[in-house]
Amino acid sequence: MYQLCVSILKYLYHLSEYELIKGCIEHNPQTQRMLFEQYAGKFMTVCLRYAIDQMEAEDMLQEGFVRIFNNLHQFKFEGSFEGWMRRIVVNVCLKHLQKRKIQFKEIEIEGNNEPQINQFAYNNLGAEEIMKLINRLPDGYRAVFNLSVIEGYSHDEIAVLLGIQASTSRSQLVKARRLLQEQIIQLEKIAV
Amino acid sequence: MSENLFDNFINDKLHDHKSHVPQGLWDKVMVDMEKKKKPLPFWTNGYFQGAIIGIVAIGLFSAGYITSKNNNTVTNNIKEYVTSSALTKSLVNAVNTTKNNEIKDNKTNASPSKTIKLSNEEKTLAPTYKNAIVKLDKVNKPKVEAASALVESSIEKAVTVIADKFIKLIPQTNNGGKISKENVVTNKKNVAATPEKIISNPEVAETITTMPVIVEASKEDILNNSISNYFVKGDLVSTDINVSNIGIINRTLAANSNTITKIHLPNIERKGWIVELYASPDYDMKKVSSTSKDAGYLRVMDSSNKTTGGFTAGFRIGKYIGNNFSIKSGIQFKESTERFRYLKQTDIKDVTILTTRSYTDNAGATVYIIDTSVIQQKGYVIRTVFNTYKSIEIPVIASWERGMGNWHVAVSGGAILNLATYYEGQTFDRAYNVVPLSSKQPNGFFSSNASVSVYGSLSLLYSIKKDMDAFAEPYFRSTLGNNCTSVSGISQGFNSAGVNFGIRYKIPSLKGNK
Repeated sequence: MYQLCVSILKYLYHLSEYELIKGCIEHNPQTQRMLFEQYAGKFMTVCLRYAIDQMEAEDMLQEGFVRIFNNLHQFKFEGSFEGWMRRIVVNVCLKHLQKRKIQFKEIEIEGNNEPQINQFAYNNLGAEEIMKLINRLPDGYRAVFNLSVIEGYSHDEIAVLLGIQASTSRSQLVKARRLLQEQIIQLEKIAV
Repeated sequence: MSENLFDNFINDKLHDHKSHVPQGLWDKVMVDMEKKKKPLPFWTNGYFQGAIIGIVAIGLFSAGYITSKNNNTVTNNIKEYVTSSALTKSLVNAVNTTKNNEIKDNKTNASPSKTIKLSNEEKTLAPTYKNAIVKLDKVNKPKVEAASALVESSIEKAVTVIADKFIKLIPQTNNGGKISKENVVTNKKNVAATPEKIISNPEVAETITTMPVIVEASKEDILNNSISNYFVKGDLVSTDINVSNIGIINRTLAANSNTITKIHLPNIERKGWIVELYASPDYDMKKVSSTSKDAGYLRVMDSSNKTTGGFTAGFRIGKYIGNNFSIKSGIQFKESTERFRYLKQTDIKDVTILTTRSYTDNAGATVYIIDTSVIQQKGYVIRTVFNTYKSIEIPVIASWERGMGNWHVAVSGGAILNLATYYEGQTFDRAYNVVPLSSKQPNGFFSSNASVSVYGSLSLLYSIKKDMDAFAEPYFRSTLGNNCTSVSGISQGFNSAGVNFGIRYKIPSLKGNK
């Protein structure tokens, strides 16, 4: 719905992505503000998924946009502009993670079977609730889960980004997924 | 639910999810950007550019000056010829003064800069010729033909050989061409075979001393002054030499001079009044600073305006003072264009969004929940306006000029006085509202009274006719002070760079040009 509205606005007011980028490259503050307003919400979600708290997420977002504006002239108009910006923001988040020196701990999970979640439980889950559940994951799990499931990176890419083995990334993802599913089950029980 | 389905579910929920962005984060981003603003490359700095232009100008001027000290006025395409009624005592002295027996030959041999050793035989040849008159002249057809005719009727081989051996100077034939290499070789052989005969033969000696010979000296010889080796005190040199197609020039050596110290080819004389017509594409560089301590306003003004070039056209009248120095003044018109871009809010819409979700309770009933939210959407359009600044100016410039034949180099500096500036367009006021920009308004943004710019240039001139030069003049100018009024809240000036392309006429009706 929102994307549709934005598309209609762009059509009505001739604000093409190209013009937006060009204006930002020329350091036009109005255009920069417009770009910020258009993408800040999405990227805030990205930052919140990696950050410890709201304050760190704000720092990440701020640094991410500064990097975007300073490096916008390097955008080659190849591929998705949003994807290009998103990668910058994710890299900023990972830089913050590296500062925290996160540990990729192995946590024992009881049982080998995949938790069975009631199909209806998913319907009850909103984005905010999922965000909260993800934020409860240990840092290492969370980073791998975010990069793999939401950002779409492969395990080899994650290994390079986080400086770990690809196999570690795989095991962390499996355990993160299990942990998250268990949390959803717990949530379902509470809701019932 | 499989892993993939679970992953897709999470991805769908979160990938495009928007979280609340706290108020004031944008301001933090802007402040951070200011702090981390990448410094502009050093070569975009106006002072650096001015320094480079100055260094290049000084370098070229010095090179021109040093070259001119070597009495250099010969162009690349002009051969200097020496005409002699005979081989002179100077040849003798040339040989004697080059006791180390080396003469550089840059002209007549296949390999350049070949050093020729003089043999004892050649040295003994030289003292034969005395009391000769040497005439230095630029080649011209009648003289060549006349001289060539004499060559033909004379003892060609002796002259040829001697000229060839001693100063690598080649006699002309009557058909206008040089004597062939074969002839020279043949004659060389003849001389080598019977050198004593030539020396001892009074007929040959007499012929040589009276016969005009056209000899060719290389440009390098002349430039390096080494040709003076061929002349000594007592030699006579012609007064007028036509070294180029732009007129007769005077020699520094008088016809009856007996004090030849060196062959001097003076600078082409430039004197009297001139008028220059010129036009230039300009590249303007704005320099802005705040006078109101309002960094935000300065940033907005600086980023929303961008100079897009302009042009200058005008004329100057100048007067030479001496051969090299001139003062010029005139009137010129300069137009600069500036692009002003701003975002104009065109529409605000409140959009109601209904989100429906459902779940099944324990009793098996499906419960539907409808969330209502309202978002405000603002529509913007980017407006672009081109502001124009038109100025009428008086340049006052001093030039120092040196030259080599048809080519001259001039270094100029001075001031450009701005008489009046007219501007029109749009800009932001202090409250970021777009307001018209016009010099017709009272209390305008920019002052339209006189201001001053400093000006520096390096000119390259080429004589295309006797009284006309074409020139290209790269220049740099910088506005002194501020051209904004107190209304604007900022201080603004311009640096400009461009290349004046123009024509220079000598004014024939004025006395100074005679």
